[in-house]
Amino acid sequence: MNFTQNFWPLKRNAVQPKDTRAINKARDASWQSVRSKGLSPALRAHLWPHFLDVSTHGGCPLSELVAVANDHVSAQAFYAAKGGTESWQETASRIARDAERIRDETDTLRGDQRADGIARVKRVLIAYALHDCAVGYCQGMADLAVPFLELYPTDDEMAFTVFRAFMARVRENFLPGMLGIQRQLQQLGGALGHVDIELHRHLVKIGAGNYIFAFQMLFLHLKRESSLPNLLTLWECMWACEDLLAQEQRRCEPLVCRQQTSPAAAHGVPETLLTPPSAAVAESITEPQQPVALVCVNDGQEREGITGSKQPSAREAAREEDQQQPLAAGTAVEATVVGIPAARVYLCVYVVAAALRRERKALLACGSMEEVLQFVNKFPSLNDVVGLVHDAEHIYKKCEGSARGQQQCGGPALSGLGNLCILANCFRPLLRLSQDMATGPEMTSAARMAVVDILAGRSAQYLAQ
Amino acid sequence: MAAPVSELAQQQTAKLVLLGEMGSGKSSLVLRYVKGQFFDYQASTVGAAFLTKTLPDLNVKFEIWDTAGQERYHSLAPMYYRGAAAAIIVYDITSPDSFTRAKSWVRELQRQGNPAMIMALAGNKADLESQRAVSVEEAQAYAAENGLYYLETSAKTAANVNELFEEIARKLPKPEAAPRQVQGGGIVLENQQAQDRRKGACC
Repeated sequence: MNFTQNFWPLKRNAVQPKDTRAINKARDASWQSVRSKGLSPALRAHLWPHFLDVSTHGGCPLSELVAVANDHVSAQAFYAAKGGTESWQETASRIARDAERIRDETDTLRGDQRADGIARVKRVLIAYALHDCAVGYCQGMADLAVPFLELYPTDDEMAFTVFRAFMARVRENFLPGMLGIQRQLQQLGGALGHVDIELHRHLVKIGAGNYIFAFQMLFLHLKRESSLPNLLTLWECMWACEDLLAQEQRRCEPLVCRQQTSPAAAHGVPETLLTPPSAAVAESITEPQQPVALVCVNDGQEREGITGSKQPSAREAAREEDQQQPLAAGTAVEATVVGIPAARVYLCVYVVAAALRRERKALLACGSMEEVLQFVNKFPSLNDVVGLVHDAEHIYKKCEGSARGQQQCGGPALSGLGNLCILANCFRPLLRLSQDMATGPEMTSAARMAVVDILAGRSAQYLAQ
Repeated sequence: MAAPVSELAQQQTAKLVLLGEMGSGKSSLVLRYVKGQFFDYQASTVGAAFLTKTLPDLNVKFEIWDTAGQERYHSLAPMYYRGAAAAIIVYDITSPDSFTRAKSWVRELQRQGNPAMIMALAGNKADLESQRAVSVEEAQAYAAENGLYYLETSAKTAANVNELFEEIARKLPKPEAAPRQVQGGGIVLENQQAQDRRKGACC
């Protein structure tokens, strides 16, 4: 399926600054429509690669990785050298065992087709294990691969590419130690505590306050709590919503990287609102608990929308109106300038929180952690998944608003260290920061060093030539 | 004849945890025992599952924790086996690796678990005799050495499944049968204190 050429121009980082605003708005509009109703099955296969930013995730094609896997000796050497935590034989055997017992939930996994279907799952998982040796294979990944194989029934290469991009978002959950999931369990408690204190208190009281009962829901992104068609809609609504939330946040995040000269002047933003990068950095370092000065270079209308002083409908109307205005020549680049990656928003925790809230009556009736787990093991199949994502967005915004106000929400709050991460992310296109600081909590020390270096006037060494 | 009320009141609740290598058949054993079901494709357990089963004849209610088998989930395991009265360590008789893993579970429970825990070793998939890779003698010797109750089972054919759980139920230490009221006043006082403490904790 060679549709990539048709869609790649939409890729955020590939467009010229001049067109960014128009394209971002067009994309926002389509993302909003996805968020509000999901995609038609025909469009899904074309758009999932964009939701998952496939273009930004490099790696060998499936066929090459499978070829490596076919030679056990070289696969073992490769796997060990790239950080595999067990022998290749063990990983391959786990994949085979887990793939064999995938539920026969779809036509391609039933009857005569099952053998072929299972073989496809194995190939994709084997290739992924060699692509990301530190993760290798973890139970649960077989479940997650199925929707991608269903989406591309005749194109394993594409199924693998899109699955790999999806895994890039969630891989931390599958690493030894499972730190990602532990953090999400905490976030889940925090989120429910924000929006439904009665339910949260009840769960704490009966000994379910560690939310471990929601492990499977988080780990498999509600795969086992939904039918496959609902799951596909749920995921794409969630990704669209995540992207839109990230865009909104990006417009209000510390602006330390500007491409045009004095965009403020073009937009009439008072100079006092603009904090020079070094000052913003200094502030975040000396007073880690304070938020970095927020600077929006969009017009007032946009800013008002972001701060949430208008009703959503009004905000959307305003955005549409804005979109219809022709772009003036030399329009300053908005905060979402090309190349500034947004801090990703992960909505899964909030979707799970919303799903639990829907069942609050049953959960409130549970008298022990065991009863909760028993209920969750037989969680009622999710329906109205679009509404669920809407609820999740609401919960997210509530937590986020509170975090911005108080700087104490465990979830998406920007701590002092978080600010440093964002700064480093903003600098990334301009600075030659090593790849390993781009993601994960490990980046913080590297980010801190980079920022300290910049402060010390040694930024020249990082500047791209 | 229905059991007298006093006997019903003494029903013993026992936490039972299943541990073992992934794919050894832990979930299948539990499902066969609790619901009498068997599925050819039993999806892997993610996190844990919880089921209960009451044995009226033995007056025991099992609270069964079925765990995920992969080593990577290991960090969750102590949460599940903590406070367990019994553990079934499952291996697959066609997989020597799963037997090795079973031994490591036994070691861990001996080191970290409740010293009074009843431990059973279950060689599952006994229906696959033609593919056997772990001999009965080897497993028996290991079980004897470590004081484990050993049985070969098949979740698929249901062979020995009820026997396994029932034998564990029989081995459970019996709760004190004597009603406390007839004992000395000191004990009553102690209970009263405990109740007070509980009340205090609620507030």
